[in-house]
Amino acid sequence: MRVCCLDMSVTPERKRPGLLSDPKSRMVLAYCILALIWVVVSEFLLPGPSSLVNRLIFIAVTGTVMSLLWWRGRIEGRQYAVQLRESDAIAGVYFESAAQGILVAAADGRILRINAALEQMFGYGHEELVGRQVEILAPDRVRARHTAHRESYFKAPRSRPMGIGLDLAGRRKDGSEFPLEISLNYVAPEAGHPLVVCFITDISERVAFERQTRQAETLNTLGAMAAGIAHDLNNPLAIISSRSELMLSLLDSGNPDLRHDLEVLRRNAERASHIASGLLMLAAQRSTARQPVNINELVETTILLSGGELRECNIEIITSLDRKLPPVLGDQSALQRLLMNLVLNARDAMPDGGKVCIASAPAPDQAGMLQLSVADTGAGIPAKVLPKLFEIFFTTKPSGTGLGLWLANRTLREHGGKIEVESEVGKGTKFTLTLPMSDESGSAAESGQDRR
Amino acid sequence: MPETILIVDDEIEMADTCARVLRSFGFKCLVACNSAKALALFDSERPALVVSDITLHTSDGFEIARYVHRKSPEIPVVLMTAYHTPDTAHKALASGAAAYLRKPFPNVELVSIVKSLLDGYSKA
Repeated sequence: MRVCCLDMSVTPERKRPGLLSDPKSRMVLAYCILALIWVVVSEFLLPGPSSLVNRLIFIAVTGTVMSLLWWRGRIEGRQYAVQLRESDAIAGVYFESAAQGILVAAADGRILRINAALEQMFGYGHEELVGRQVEILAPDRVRARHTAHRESYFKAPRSRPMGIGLDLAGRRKDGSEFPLEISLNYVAPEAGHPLVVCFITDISERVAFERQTRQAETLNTLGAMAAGIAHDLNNPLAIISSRSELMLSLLDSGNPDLRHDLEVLRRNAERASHIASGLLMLAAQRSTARQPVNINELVETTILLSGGELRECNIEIITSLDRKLPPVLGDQSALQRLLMNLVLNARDAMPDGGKVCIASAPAPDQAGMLQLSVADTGAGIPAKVLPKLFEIFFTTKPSGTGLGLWLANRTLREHGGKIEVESEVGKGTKFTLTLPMSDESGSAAESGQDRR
Repeated sequence: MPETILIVDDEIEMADTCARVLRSFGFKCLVACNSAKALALFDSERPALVVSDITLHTSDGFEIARYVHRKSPEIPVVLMTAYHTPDTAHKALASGAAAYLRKPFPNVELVSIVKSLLDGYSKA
C-alpha cells in the first residue's frame, strides 16, 4: 500500500510550545534568574571575596545549568520529531486506508491529494488527478455551476455536509455517473493557503435499495387496487359470460346474427377477464415475507385449482414427487402463481388433450438445490421462439398477456433460482425450475408416482 | 329424482345464473343470498352438493364449507370466487371444500365439476 504523508502544515493534535516548554525560552529564563542570584550574592551576602572568585563561581554554576538545560532540550526536540513522524505516518495510514474517498483541494480547485478509495471510486490513477481541477470529477452538466459554488464556499468557508436534499453525482473516468455524498471540511493552516478536505461516499447501493423500496410500495398499492378491480370486474363478467352461454344454448339455429352477437359478447367478456387477470398477476408481485414453502404442497394445490380445466381438455396429470425434499424459503403466493402459470400454459399447448408430468427431486450435481419440472406432450415451441420466451409482453397466444413467463423468470431469480426450458416441436415442452432448499426439513414420506 | 344443489351467492343474479345453468342439466337448485339462509336451507333440505361464493356480506364461504364438512362430510362443497389468490385457494382447501372455481368460468366447467363430485369422480 502506498503511504503518503499528509504534510498539510496543520497538526491540530500538536501543542503550541509555551514559555516554559520551549528549550530556548527556558535557557534565557534560567540565565536571567542566575544573573539575579549572582548580583544579590556577590553584592550583599558575600562582599568579602574577590570579584574574580565570584565570577568564576557564577560561570561554573551558569555553565552547568545551561548545559543541563541544553541537553534536556535536545532530547525533548528529538522526542518531538519522533512523535511528529509517528503522527504523520498514522495520519497517512488513516488517509490511505479509509473506506471513504478523500480529496484535498486548494481554493483555486486544484486537487492536491487523493486516497486510494477515491481513485477506485472514480476510476482514475493518482497521477491523472493530482494537479487537475476538481471539476474533472463532476458531471459535464454541473461543472460550470460547481466552479461558482466552490468560489462562493471559500468566501465563507465552514465545515458542512454538501448538498443536503440535492442529488449529487460524480463522474467516473469512463463517463458514467453515480450518486454520492460529500462532507466538506475547511482547513486554515498557519502558513500557506486555505484547503478543503472532502470526504466522498458512493451511495449507489443505498439509492438502488431506496428505489427498490419505493417500487415495492408502488406495487403494493397497485396490487391492492388491482385486487379490488379484479373482484369488482370478475363478478359481472361471470354473469355476462354465463348468461351469454345460456342464451346461446337456448337459441334456435334460425337466427345466425343473434348467435353471432352473443358469441361476440361472450368472447369479449372472456377477454376482459384476461385483462383483469393480467393486471392482477403483474400487481401481485408484492413484497411478502419469506417462509418455508413445501414444493409438493404447491403442486397439489395447483392440481386442485386446475384439475377441472385439465380434465375438461382431456389432459391427464402425472406426478412424481420426492416427499423427502426440504422446503424452499420463499414467497408462497409467487411460487404458487408461477406453477399455476406453467400448468395452464401446458393446457393451452394441448387443445386436443395429452399429459402433464409434474416432478420434484433434488437437483442433480447441485448440492442444496431442488428441481421442479412441468412437462407436457403438446405442440412444442419452435427453436427460434425459445430465446424470446422470457421477454416481457412476448406471447404466442392470441389472448396472452406476455407476462406469465417473464414473471416466472423474475420470481425464480428473486429466490436465487432459475428456470430453463427444453422443447421439441410436435413432442412437447419441459420447464425446469431450480430452487435453493432451506435448512428446515420437510415432511418425510415415501416417494411415489400418482395418476389423477 | 333430480339431485338438489344449494347455491349461495350474495349477488343474487350470479346465484340465479348458476341455478339456471345447473337446472338446464337436470339438477334441482335452491338459492340463498346469505349464509344464515344457506345454513337453514342446508339443514332443512339436505342438498346433495353446495356451491358457494367465498365473499358473502355477513359471513364467508369458508364458514359454510366448514359447517357442511362438520355436519355432513360426505356432502361436497364447491367454493367459487371473483378474487382468486393462492392464499384463497389454500383457505378453501383447509375449510374442507372439494373444489374451487375462479369467476368467470365457462358453464361447462361448473357442470363438469358438479357432475364429477356427485359421481364420486374425486374418489377415483
